[in-house]
Amino acid sequence: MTATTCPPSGTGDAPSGSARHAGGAAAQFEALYRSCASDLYAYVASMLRDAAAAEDVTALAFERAYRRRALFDLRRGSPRAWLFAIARNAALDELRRRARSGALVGEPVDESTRVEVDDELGERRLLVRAGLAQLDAREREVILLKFVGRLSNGELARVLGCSESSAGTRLHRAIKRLREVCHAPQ
Amino acid sequence: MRRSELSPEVRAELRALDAILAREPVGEEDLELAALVDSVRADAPRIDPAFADRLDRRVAARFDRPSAPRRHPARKRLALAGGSLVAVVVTAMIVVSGGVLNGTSAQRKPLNPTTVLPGAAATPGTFNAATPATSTGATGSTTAAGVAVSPSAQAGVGAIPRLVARSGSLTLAAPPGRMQAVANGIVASTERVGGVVESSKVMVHGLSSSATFSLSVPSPKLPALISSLSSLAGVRSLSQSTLDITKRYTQAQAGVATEKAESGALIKALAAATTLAEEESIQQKITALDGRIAAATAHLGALVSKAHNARLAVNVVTAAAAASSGGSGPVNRALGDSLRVLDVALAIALVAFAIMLPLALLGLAVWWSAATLRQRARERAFEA
Repeated sequence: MTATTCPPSGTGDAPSGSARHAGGAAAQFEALYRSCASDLYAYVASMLRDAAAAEDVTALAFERAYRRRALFDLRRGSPRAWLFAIARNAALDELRRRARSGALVGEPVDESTRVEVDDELGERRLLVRAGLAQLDAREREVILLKFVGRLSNGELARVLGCSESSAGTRLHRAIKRLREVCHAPQ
Repeated sequence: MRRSELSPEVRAELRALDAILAREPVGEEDLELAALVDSVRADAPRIDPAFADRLDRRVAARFDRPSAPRRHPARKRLALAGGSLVAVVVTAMIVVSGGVLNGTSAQRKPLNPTTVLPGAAATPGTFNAATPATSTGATGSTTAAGVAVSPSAQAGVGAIPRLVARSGSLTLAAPPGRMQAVANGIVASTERVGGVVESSKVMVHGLSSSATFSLSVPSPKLPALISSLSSLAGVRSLSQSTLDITKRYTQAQAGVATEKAESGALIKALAAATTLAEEESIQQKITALDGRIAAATAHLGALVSKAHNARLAVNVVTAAAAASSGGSGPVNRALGDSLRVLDVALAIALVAFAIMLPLALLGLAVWWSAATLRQRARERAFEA
């Protein structure tokens, strides 16, 4: 695995030039891939709760982004927001497909996230996981986009298709709700 | 709603969140939020190394899919070309049927005066009253009145001949210095085709020179005359019209027949009259009837003459511009043709634009609606 995490877009090595310039487009895409792959997968997998589907959707999102890179316009948002918007649409399409076919997908048994409950940290992770599961899907998504996807508020707004203040308000409410369910008596 | 409209509490939390995600130090009051962020991030699924390797390779290969080539690019191009062709054909049809080209090509009509202009009622097979009469043949037969009847006319109207009166109007633009020469040419051309100048008025006075002619010419010779006159000066306008006078002719003919029958009856009555007063009365009626018969017969003759001879009104005006630019030389004709081509091209482009604009707007609206509906359908996945 060569993909690594990096600071949110605009401060890291995400492409800064317009993707319309075909010459640097491929290199810019490569940099976008390196900076976003892990976060994007984490976001998609958390949304879908299915590792195989998450891999498919992640790969599909990168492929779509690569094929449509000529259409990307920097004036309409950062490449990171654009990529997450593509991944979000693909993930939602996958959820719809599942809903149509009535497929039942349970929580992924992910060894990498298996929690040892011996310590306080582990207990808190379990608590937060349970709290996230209790959230409304839209609330959970906005938290995942911010916490896991590490999108700026502007990027969050772009992905959710709303204004920046609206995205901020939604995020604030979702965090408040997560706190409530985490601190609620079990 | 702008960012500044967020409450201070929300703004503070968002700032703290950005600091936490950027690994910047935060105050004690935000440690709980930092712990929450860490817990969510720590619990997020990790990418499988095997999948990461596969994805790396696909990215390095630029998502090349030899087994699954791009979706029929040739077919897409073919569809695009087909769509463009259909659009062009539709545009051309609309342009032609809309008369855009007719308006321009009308200027070329003088070159082919036999062409039926807009407004002319003549149709193929229509009787041409001035057609050289033949006893029988493929083109028609001759009536007792010397009026030619086309086979189609005979089939359509029975034995009644079809009479068509033709007329036209021609405006020529002559250089001021050639006004008299053009006027003489008009007279000569008319006489050459067997026509007559019924009236004429020629005024030679520099740039305000003008001439008007009223010509009568055997109908079959009208195209030849127009062609001949067109060569004398530049054609400004030409119009031709036809009028079917068959009904008027048959009505007049029937009236004459009736009156002649009445006259015959009166003559018989005169022969059988027994008193002088009765004879005088009948004689007066016969005299009056003869007058009416003579008038009706003259009217019949006038109708036939009208069908035989076409009338052409010719106006000659000065063309200072044409004179100054060297008249109707080949360069000027080429220039005129070029302008006409540009004119037509512009007309086609305008019509195409007028067609394409609403289509494009409609397509945009459909695309926007479809995208909105699709996104709404996606969002509903959260509720599933």
